[in-house]
Amino acid sequence: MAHPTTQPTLLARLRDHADHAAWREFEERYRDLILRYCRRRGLQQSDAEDVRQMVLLNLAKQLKSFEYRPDRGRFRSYLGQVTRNAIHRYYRRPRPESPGLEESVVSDLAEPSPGADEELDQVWEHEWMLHHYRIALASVRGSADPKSVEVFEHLLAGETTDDVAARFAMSRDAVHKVKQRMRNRLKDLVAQQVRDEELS
Amino acid sequence: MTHDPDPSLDGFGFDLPDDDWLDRLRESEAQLNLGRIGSYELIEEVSRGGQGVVFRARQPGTQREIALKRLLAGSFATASMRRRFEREVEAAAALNHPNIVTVFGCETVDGNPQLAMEWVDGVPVTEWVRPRGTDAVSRDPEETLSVFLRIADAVQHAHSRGVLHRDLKPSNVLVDRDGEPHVLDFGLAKRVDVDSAADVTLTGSADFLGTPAYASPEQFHTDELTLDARSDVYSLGVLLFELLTGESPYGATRNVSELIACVETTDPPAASRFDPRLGYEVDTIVRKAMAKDRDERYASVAALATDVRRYQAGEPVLAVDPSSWYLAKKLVRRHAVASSLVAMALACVAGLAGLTSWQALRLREERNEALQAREDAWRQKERADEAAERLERLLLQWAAGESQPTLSDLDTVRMKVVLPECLDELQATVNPNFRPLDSSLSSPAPSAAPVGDRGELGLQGP
Repeated sequence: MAHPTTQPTLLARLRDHADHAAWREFEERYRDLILRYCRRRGLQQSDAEDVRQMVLLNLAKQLKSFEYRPDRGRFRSYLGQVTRNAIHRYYRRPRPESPGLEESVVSDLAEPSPGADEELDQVWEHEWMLHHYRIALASVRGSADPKSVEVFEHLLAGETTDDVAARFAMSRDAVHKVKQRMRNRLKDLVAQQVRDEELS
Repeated sequence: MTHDPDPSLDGFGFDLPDDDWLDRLRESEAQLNLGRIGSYELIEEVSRGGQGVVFRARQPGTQREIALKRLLAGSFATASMRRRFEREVEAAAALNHPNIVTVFGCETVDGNPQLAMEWVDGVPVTEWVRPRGTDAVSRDPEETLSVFLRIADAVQHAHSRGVLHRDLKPSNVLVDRDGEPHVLDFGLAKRVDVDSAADVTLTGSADFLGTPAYASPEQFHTDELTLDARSDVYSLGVLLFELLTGESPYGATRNVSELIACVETTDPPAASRFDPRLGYEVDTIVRKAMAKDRDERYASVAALATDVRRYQAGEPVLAVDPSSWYLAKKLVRRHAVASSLVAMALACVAGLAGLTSWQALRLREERNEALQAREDAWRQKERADEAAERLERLLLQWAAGESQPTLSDLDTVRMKVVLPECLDELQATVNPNFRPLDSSLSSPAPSAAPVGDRGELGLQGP
């Protein structure tokens, strides 16, 4: 697996506000994470969209003013905090109309109760892990040998090793080997992604 | 490194048994149940921008797929702004044109206004013109122009029904698989707010809130209510520029305040600089559509479209100042075959005319030479006759003893010239082989002859 390149990481590039491509890339990479976290917190999709937008705006501001300091903590914790704050603020925003019943129920769900921070952190950590799996999977699909990817897709879809071996006229052992190779590959990719995320 | 324990991978479960590990992967990819907004069942999020979010959704009952555009809460500062928005959406919903996305209706759910629209499976027109994976504009300019004209016709249709678009940009023009453009979001644009745009610049996230690159200069200053069709003409001009060149007329990666300054003051470069297939006529059309002063633009989208059609047909483009040379050139281009026949005929005529006049010239020269010769001869003869007559008279007077003959100076000169000639003639008559020995005697040389010596003739004479 290749080590981090000497090119500036995505985060470093974000400090350059003229680098619109970096912002697009960033948004593409993290939007699902932010949305899913919001949904896990009980927000409706449309609310989650609004929060995601706020998170990105705040991030842009803070990266510019260097409020994010890599030496003070990991980016994933920082992003989690910005997202939680945005959700919090979203429910404190002035409303054009009085909230409907549904919305107040959602608000209650989303409003953290005192001492719930740790639990919310765990939700974030879990979503963050899934986020890296998603990115690594997309990357493997685009780069690994197509036959192996196909075998692996069938395993992912829930077929047993025997089913897949029969389908592709392979031995069980060969299917196992594909599975192992994919696991190693994904592990390398995730490790790389996590490293890149913190190098900024 | 693969099997080393990596603390950064704690919690990822790479050490889990196969089935549990695969469950993690499945969980990471599990579709979020987007749920419903109002009565619409959301299928996927399609796009997001400064205005809000667009979902692909399913309409209850009909199960028809629609696009649901959900505007941000707080999109309208006042109740009257909201009412006007609703009126505009109503007007847009009344539009019926194959290249305009149909609006089904507008409602407010949880404080957010939202619109249900026809679902179009397409890509932004700028992406259509440059299919993925290529940098260069790959569509033929003719094809691009014909799609542009359909867009313009759609906008003109709306204008003729009193609906301005005010936010024409690539993401509002989708092209489907059949190459058919669909213009969406008529009447939805809010006034470009310079202050908030500048604020966006500070956050560096202009991309998320849209770009003023397609807004007309007056949109930054003029009250929304005083905007007219020419504002859309401008936006179409920018769109046309970008479709033909693949570039924004004001360059890439600018922040919003710089961009606004460019829109207001910088003249766009000639489109033909980016694609040599485009000529100055296209440049002129684009420039006229994008004029900073709206009085200098096409007065309507129809006028812009007409000029593009004139260009396509090879007719003179109205945006170009009509010099007679330009018009003649267009005429020649338009009727290529006829023109070459005419040119050949003209060449023949010109050739003939040339030949004839050369001949006429020759003839005139010859005639002149002949006339000159005749005149010379005539003058010689006259002179000779005169001299002979005078000589005869002198001789007669002298023979009659009437008087001593006197000669004027002039007579002397003439005699000196004429007498030798007469002598020569006489000699020649007698002896045809006679040649004068002294050429000075046979050619007149009046200036060389001394004048005034009366006695000469007398001494040599009788």
